[in-house]
Amino acid sequence: MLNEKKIHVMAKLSMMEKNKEQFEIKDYYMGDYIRFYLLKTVIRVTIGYVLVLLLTAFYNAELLINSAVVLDYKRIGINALLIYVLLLFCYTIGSLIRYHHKYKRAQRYVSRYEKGLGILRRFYQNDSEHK
Amino acid sequence: MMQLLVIKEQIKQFYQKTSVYVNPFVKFITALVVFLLINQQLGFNPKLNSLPIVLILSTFCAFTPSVVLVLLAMAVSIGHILAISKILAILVAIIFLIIYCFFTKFTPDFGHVILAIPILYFLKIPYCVPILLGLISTPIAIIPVACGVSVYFLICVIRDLTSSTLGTSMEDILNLVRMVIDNWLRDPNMLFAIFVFCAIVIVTYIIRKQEFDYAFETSIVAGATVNVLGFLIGNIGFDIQVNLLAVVLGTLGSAIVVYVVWFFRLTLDHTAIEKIQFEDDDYYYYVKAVPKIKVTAPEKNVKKINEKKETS
Repeated sequence: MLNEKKIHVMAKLSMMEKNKEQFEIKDYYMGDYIRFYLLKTVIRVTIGYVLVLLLTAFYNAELLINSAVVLDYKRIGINALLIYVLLLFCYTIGSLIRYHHKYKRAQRYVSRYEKGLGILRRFYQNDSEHK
Repeated sequence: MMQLLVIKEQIKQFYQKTSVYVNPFVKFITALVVFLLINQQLGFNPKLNSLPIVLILSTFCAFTPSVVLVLLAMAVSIGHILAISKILAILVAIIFLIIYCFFTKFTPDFGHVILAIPILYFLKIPYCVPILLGLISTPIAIIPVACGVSVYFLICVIRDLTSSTLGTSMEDILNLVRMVIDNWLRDPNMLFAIFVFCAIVIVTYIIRKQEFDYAFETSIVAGATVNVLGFLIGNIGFDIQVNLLAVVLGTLGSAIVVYVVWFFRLTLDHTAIEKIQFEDDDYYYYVKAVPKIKVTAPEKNVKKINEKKETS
């Protein structure tokens, strides 16, 4: 015999399972989750910055070739590094805040899902007791 | 107004029944329009201009996630530019990568905006994007909006510059790259357009969040007003080259489009039927979840009243 309330709970849980992104947090503690995405951010910002430097060098190619021996490479290197550090700092703070919120939101979602699982477990326990 | 609400619910009912066919069809038409417009604006590669290729790409986009359309549109644009200059194609690819690395990861849900703004610019109604984002999103949407506007102006710069003959010497290539970057990054029209679009998003968002009657409608009107006033001030005060009549008509068209979209609020996630399956020890379950319709269409009952025939 079909238990409509149990089917209702199972259907709700099945629909919640479709949102796979929220269940990603189950594989991580909050610290590990944030560290993982921070690492991705650092890699992305570094690649982007290298591309910007490449474009800048290409844009100023004529100046670089003509003034190759007189350029103050130390000052240019320090300026580039300072800009990189500042950029990285801003993006790291932004990512920290964003993924912290994302983890908390996902935690609430998973908690609702597990509550539903608890209700379903009780249905199964009742069924086995009646058998 | 009631009649409009009934029409809205009838459309939603129709969509519920036919979403399996409607979704790929709409995606196909959208992809077709996108690729045809890119071919019209750039069109340097005769192979990519051919209709069979466009139809094949559109069909592919119809059955794949919508991010594939954004990636293919970028690839087709680069493909067209590659036909005239490899260096320019590499430059554009690097610029797209920079935009991806620095900006799109913060608003992954709005990656389509970067494609939508150039396409809607070609259709003369780009202003509906910032107004719509002000209604449905937060001020962080200014990031994809700014990226979309800059991509549009980059395409315009490349299209205009490459109409002249291109040299193949190293000096010509360096000059071309420098000219593209200068004309793009130092274009006051682009910078002003970014500023106005960001202002539209913020103003629309602020008014939408207020708690008074017709806040959404007021925010659409406010966004449109900011757009017209912004470009008017730019034209008079900052010598921004813009066709004011086109701006006014485009704003009007955009406001109407946004109002229609907002009114119908056809959010696919909440209107489409969901199908799920699961099992327990005794049964397999195949469940179809159908969202409830809130306003029912009135049933027509025709009542005929006949005159009583008097019999003598």
